[in-house]
Formats: sequence, C-alpha cells, structure tokens
Amino acid sequence: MRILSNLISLSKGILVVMALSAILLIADRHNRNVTDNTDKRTTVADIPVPESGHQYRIAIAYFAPEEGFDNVMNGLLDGLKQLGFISDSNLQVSTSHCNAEIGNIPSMLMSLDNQHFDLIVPTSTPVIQGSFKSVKNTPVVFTYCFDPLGAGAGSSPIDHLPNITGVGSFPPVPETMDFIEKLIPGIKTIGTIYNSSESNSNSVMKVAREVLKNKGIKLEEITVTNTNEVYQAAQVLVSKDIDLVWITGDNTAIQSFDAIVKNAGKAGLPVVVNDQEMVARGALAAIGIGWYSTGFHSAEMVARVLCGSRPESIPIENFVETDVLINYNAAKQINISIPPKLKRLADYGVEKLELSRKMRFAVVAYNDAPITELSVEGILKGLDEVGLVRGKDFDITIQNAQGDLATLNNIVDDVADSRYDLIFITSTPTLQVVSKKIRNTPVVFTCVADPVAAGAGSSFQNHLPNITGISTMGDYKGGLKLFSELIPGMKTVATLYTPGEVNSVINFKTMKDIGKSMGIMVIGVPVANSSDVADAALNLTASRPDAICQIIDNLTSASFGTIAKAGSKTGIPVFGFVSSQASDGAIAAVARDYVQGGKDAVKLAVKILKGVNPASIPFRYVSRSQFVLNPAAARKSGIEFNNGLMEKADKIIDPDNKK
Amino acid sequence: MTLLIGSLTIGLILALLALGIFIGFKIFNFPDITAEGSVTFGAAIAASLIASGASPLAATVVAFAGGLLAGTVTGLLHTKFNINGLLSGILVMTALYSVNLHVMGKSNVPLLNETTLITDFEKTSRFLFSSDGLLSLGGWKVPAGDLAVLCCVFLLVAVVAFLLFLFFRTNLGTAMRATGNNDQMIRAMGVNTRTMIVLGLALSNGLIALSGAFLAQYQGFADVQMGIGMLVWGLASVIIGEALIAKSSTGFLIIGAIMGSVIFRLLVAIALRWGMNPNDLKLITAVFVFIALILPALLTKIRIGRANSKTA
Repeated sequence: MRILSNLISLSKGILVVMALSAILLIADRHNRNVTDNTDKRTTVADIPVPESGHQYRIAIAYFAPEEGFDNVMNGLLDGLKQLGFISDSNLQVSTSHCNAEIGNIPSMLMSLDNQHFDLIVPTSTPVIQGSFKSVKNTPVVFTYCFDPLGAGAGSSPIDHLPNITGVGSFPPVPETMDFIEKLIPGIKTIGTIYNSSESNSNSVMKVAREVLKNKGIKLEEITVTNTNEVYQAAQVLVSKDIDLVWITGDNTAIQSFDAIVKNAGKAGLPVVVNDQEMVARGALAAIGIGWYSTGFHSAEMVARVLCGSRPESIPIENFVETDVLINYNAAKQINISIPPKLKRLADYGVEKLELSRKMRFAVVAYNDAPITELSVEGILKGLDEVGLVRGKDFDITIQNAQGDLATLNNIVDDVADSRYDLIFITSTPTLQVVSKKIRNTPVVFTCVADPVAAGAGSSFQNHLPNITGISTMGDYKGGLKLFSELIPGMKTVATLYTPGEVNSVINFKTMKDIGKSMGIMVIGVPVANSSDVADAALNLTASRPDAICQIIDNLTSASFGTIAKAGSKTGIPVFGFVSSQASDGAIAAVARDYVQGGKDAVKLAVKILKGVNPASIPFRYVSRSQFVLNPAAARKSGIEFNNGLMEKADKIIDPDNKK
Repeated sequence: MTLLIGSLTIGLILALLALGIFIGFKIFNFPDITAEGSVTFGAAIAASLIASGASPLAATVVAFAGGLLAGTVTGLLHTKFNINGLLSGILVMTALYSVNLHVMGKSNVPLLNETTLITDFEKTSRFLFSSDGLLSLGGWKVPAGDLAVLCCVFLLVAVVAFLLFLFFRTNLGTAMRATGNNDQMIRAMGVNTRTMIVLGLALSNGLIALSGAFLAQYQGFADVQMGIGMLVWGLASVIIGEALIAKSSTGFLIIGAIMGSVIFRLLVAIALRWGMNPNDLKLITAVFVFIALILPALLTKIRIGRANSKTA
C-alpha cells in the first residue's frame, strides 16, 4: 500500500516529464521516417579506406619550387589525411623536382619509376607529359595542369593512356573575359604574352580567341621561347594599342612576371591573370584557380588508385574552383575604379547564386555582445548580396543562448534535429559545442578569434570535415602601425583584458607580441566583470601610457564607453579594434570588420552550397580591415588628422551627423 | 528526437547540481552560492586533467574532491570566522574564478579529441544496443551513442541519488538533516552543528563539481564562464521538483530535485522549438517555469472547486 501511495505522489512529476517529452516529440514529428540524405554529403562512402597496418608510398614530382605547387601539394596531403592516408604515419611521401630544366624530367621520372612506389603524382604540364613515356611500372595520377588531353593524356576523359589518370583544371577563360569586359566597358584590344611551345598555353589561347571573337574584342598575342625574351616582349606589347594585359598560367611568362608588371605599370595598363599567387606580385586581379582545392579534390583519385583501382578505369576529371581576387592597391596606382559588381564578384566568386531548391539555414549565437550582432548582420547582408531573398530562396532561424551554456547545448541539439542545409555560428563556445555535436551538416563560423585554440582543427587547413569559417583575430599589426603614426614616438600602450575569455587572452598575447616586434610595450590590466570596468579603466590611465589600445573581447566591447571616458578625462588617446568603437569615443579604430566577417562567412557558405566539401576549405581571416576616424574625439586629445589620413579612412564619424 | 535526448541528458547532468543545491538550501537552510564557482571548478579540474592525459575516471573523482574542498572552505569561513553565510559563498565563488583560471592555465580548455567518460559511455552502445550507428526509435533515427550516454547518465544519477538517500539515513546524515531543521535541539543532543555545516557544504559542492565535471566532458570543453546562471536555475529546479512532489520526506525531495532539473531543461527546449524571437528566450523560459509552478496548485484548485460545486 505504501509503495502505491508513494508512486502516486511521484506520478505528477513523471506525468509532467512525459507530457513535456511528448510535446517535444510532436514538434519533431516531421523528422520521422526521413531517410538521411544529409549524411552523404560529407561522408565519402564509395572511397575505399586504407588497409590498416599497410604502409603506402607515393612520389610527387614537380617542375620547380613555387607557390602554386606548394598550395596544390598542401591541398593534396590534407585531402589524403581526411581520407585516412596520413603522411609520416601510414603514408610515405617523397618529393623531387627537376630544377625547372625540361631535360631533367625523363631521368627524374625513370628513377622514381624504378623505386617501386605505389603511385606517382606528376604535377605541371611538362612533368606530366614526361610521365607518359618515362613511367612504365607505376600507376600515375596527375594534377596541377590546365589541359591534360591537350598535353596528350588521351583523346577523351574516358579514352586515355592506360596507366594514367588525373585531374585537370582548365582556366576559367570565359569568366575571365566577362570580368575584363566589366572592368573596362567597351574594351577593344587585350594583349598577352605566352610561350608557343607550351601546350597548356596553346590550348588556353585557342579558347580565348574563340571567346573574344564572339565579343568583338581583339587579342594581341606576342610569343616568346624562353624567359629571357619576356622583358622585351612586354616592352613591345605595351607599346601597341592595347587596353589591358592578360597573362594566363604560362610557365615562362609567370617565371618573369615582374618584367610584365613593370612595363604594364609604366604604360598605366592593368594586368589580369589566372594565377592567384600573382596578385601579390602586382597584378590587378586574378580570376583564378584555387590550387589548394584542386589538390584537395585530387586526393580522392589518389586514394582510389592506392586502394587498388586501375587508372584506366577512372576518367580524367576537370576541376576548377574559381576564385576572384582584386588588388585594390594596384587599382589605385593605375587609377582604375573597380565597379561594385566586380567587388561583389571578388567577395563571393558569384554575382548571383542560384539554388536548386529553397534552403534552410540557421544562425546560432552565444550571447548578445555588439560583435555578435554585427556578425549576424553581416551574414544576413551577405546572403542578400549574393542575390538570395529571405523567404523565397531560403528560410533562416536565428537563435541566441543569451550567455547561458546549458541553453547553448539545448540550442545546438535543436539545430542538429532540424536538418538545416547549413548552419552559421558565432563565438567560440558555440563553435566548441557544435564541434562536439554536429557532424553531418556543414557549419560556417565567424566571430571566433582562434578556431585552432578552440579545438576545431589542428591548423587552418586541417580541421573538422564539416566545419569551416572566418577567424576574426584583431588586426593588431595594422592598428599599432597606424596608431604609432598618429602619436609619433608611441612607446607604451595599455589595454584591459578579460582573463576569463579565451578570445581576450589570445588577443592580448597577440598584440603584446606584435608590439614587442615594433618596439612598443603593451601593458595589460585584467578585469573580471562589467562592474569592474570603470575602476580598471582608471587604473589603466594611472600607468600614464602614451595611448590606450583596447583589444577585443566581449566584456570590454560591451562597456567600451567607460574606457573611452576614462581616456578623455585624463587626455590619453584611446584607440579601438572594433569599428563601432570610433563612434563610442575612440579617436580611431582599425577593425576587423565584423560585418565583413559575416559576409566572408557567406562567401564560404556559397562555396559549400556550390558543392565544395567544407573539409577542403581552410579557415580564413576576415578579408578586410576597416579604418574609422573620429576627428571630434581626436581634437579633445589634441590630435588633428591630416588630410591624407582622412582620405585613407573608410569611415569618418561626424558628431553632427551621428549614424 | 536529438533535442529530446540532449535535453534529458543535460537535465540529468545538471540534476547533480540541483542535488548539491538541494543539500545546501533545503537540508541546511544555508544560502550557499559557492555553486557558480564550484561547478566551473569541477569542470576545470576534470578538463585540465583529461587534457594532460589523466584517466577520465580519476579526473572526475579529483573534480569531486575539489568540490568537497571548495565547500569546506565556505563552511569554515562561516563557522570559524563567523562570516555571514551568503558572504562566505560570495567570497569563495569569487576566489574560485581566479583559481579556475590557474587550474586551466587559460580560460577555455577544449576536450574535442580526448577520451572522456562520456565517450566511454558512447562506446557502451555496442553492448547496450549492439550498434554504434543510427538506431530507429519510433520512426526517428537516433545515434545509438547519444542514447547510450543518456542511459549511462541516468544510471549514474540514480546511483548517486540512491547513495545520497542511504547517506541521509545514517546517523551522520540524520544529524545533518536535524541541523537544518532545528539546530538548537540537535546541539542539545551533543552534536557539533558547525562540523555538520562544513560537512554538508562540502558534500553539496562536491556534487556540484561532479556535475561540472560531467558537463565539461559532455559538451567537450570547460570554460571559465560556464557557471554563470547555474545557481539560479539549479534553485529553480529544486523548487519545481518540490512543488510537483508535494512531499517532505528526503527521498521524495531527492527525486523531486532530479525531476525538476529534467523538467526545466525540457521547458527550455520547448521554448527553443517554439521558434520565437531569440531575444525573448529567457522571458519565455521564465513564463514556462511560472506556469510549471502554479499548474499543480491550479489543477488541485479546479478539482476542489468542481467537487465543491457538486456537493452544493
């Protein structure tokens, strides 16, 4: 009897638990009997796994050390790692190159062929061509090549040399010409230089002539036979009546690329290329191939052959992940303005993204800090800029744990249940919970200073397969450099930091290290919660630093006004690293723009929606820093900005026109 | 379904915290707010030990011991130095923030690739459900690992609750309960109530730290800020449970605290599923808790009202 009455007392509680569970299950009813198609996206079911205990040996042969090859190789090794072939563990990788001497190629390859490797990976067209004749006993999977069929690998992707298969990456010629047409409307003539004995360049020119003929644009071609002739060829080319120089991935022209940039620069002509690596060397823009992705993609084919598939049974593939890069400095130098449309192209690689169906996205945030709000705003703006309309092309659910970790766990479970097509997340704790709980849905993060310290990967390249995103580590280098221009002889700067926030500590350490390298001492005053900020800020000014350079964290970004006030009271200039801080009383802010961070996250999401595996997309820093000035606040500290500086600013805070 | 399983699991893990708070607030009538510090303390100890290669079981036991220590300090501050109980808790909680930073060496320790008790629990799915892939449960596809974690955590909480129940029936336990109920009487019986308070707070914070240790292993990281808000919601769980069970014997109160914690997480989950404006999450949660608290009384009232109208 007693047991029964006890049970009755408990029944109310049990009933409530059951009723609540039932409500949750009813809300989740549409997930019943759903066949799981999200699983297939990121698992690579049909690719064989390495035999355990087996040592695989591969040889990679290349033309000469250069950046493009490094990228392709990093992509390849990272891709193999994801598939279970881990170099220096169950995979031995031997690399050799021919010192840019075509004559050395056959002997190099023959020697590799006799060393009984499981597979040889030749890269770049001349080496690949060499492998057709010189490799007899070892299967070959090539990559890093424009046009393998043109190079002689076969007559069609299926009908190719028996021992050889691989991945080609034909440059996006029509896209390049579209870009050029938009850059210079009404363009008449494009000039180019290439080596006519390189088969890859010949194939590209053939396509280019065709594309340009349809557009009514003339192609002025100058051919060279070796690198020594490039300088003179460039002089001749720019003296002709051309509007723009376009250089494709011709090995010879790329080797003496500086000569081309120099001559084009003298004549005030923009240079457009297909190699992203050349943008840093002075090209105006690259409509190029992301070689890291190509390498990553090729890993799949390498893995198949390593596990016993015959190369002849695998068709040759063409894989190009088009990336548009713009060099705004080069644009300024030759006085050319980039149309907004092309800027967007550089941001997203697409002007308009077409989705095959209505997508469902989720945004998960951890707290209500301003940087979180800016990030979410950036994500929404970014989606808008790629032409996706909320409600029509996609639905988006935004959830915020309001600073409560247990609730964050609940939210992530909810999101995991709801079968979103893609999940955007902000802040480090969210990334950590998601890393633990979501394995099948692609996730893109932003507003995380150091994703590696958070545990989402061992490096920016090698990370959890379904997660990629944007690191918003502050631009401390650019900031300190600019601030020391404003305050000549700046030797000591001070900042508050929050030992309790992982981001804060990382940011503080980063700024300290950068300061050290620039001869600036960085003093940190720790602070634990928002009620301490006012006292700590006074403490900060007590050490009489030359300036307060407030690093980024959640706590101080929420109470930045207090810090700015302490600075203005004591006449110590205050600088910030969040763009909104310039309107909160900082003299100037050099900011990793959090809105831009959100937009950059969308850029990665676009790649994923277009079918790129998130595992192959490295983490990135926010693409642009914003430079914001507040002249009124500066005057209070006795600093007057010169005109040059005002022109450089992305935004100037005008007290009469507060926005 | 994942949401349900996740909510139940977190609810059970936090039930350990609710039990700790129950001991402090209900058994001893002692407003011990050390909890926000000790839950993180437990998480910090477990996470740093696991990350440095210690066995997860040992790390969890040490975390429990760490909580015992934190509670002891609060108790000693109160009994030896006559510091107000609330303030002793505030002092220890505040101090623990720095201690936690020292324990972890940084503010956040990820455990994503470590073997933890929770990953061990996941592995039991082979044994429990002879599968480690997806299970079909009433039409929903559920990862067998998650279900195994839920079962193991349930078992764990049941064992802890049972031990606690047995403990409160021993002489020591009875003396502890009496200290909270009527300390004059128990002092007259020759029991040192100060020792009882110290022991009780130690046990309470030990359980809270244990909860933190499991939470860190479950969510895959320890963060120095993870204790924020835990005390209030733990307290809410205890009160919800008490209101539901409406019995004052220790055994029932223990079960009530556990149920309260689970119910609270379920309410948050429903609020989330609601799909409301994210800014309103806490408001809705508060309203739900309010409803959960008044509903039992309201139902009883209605029933009585009906009975009355019938007789009239």
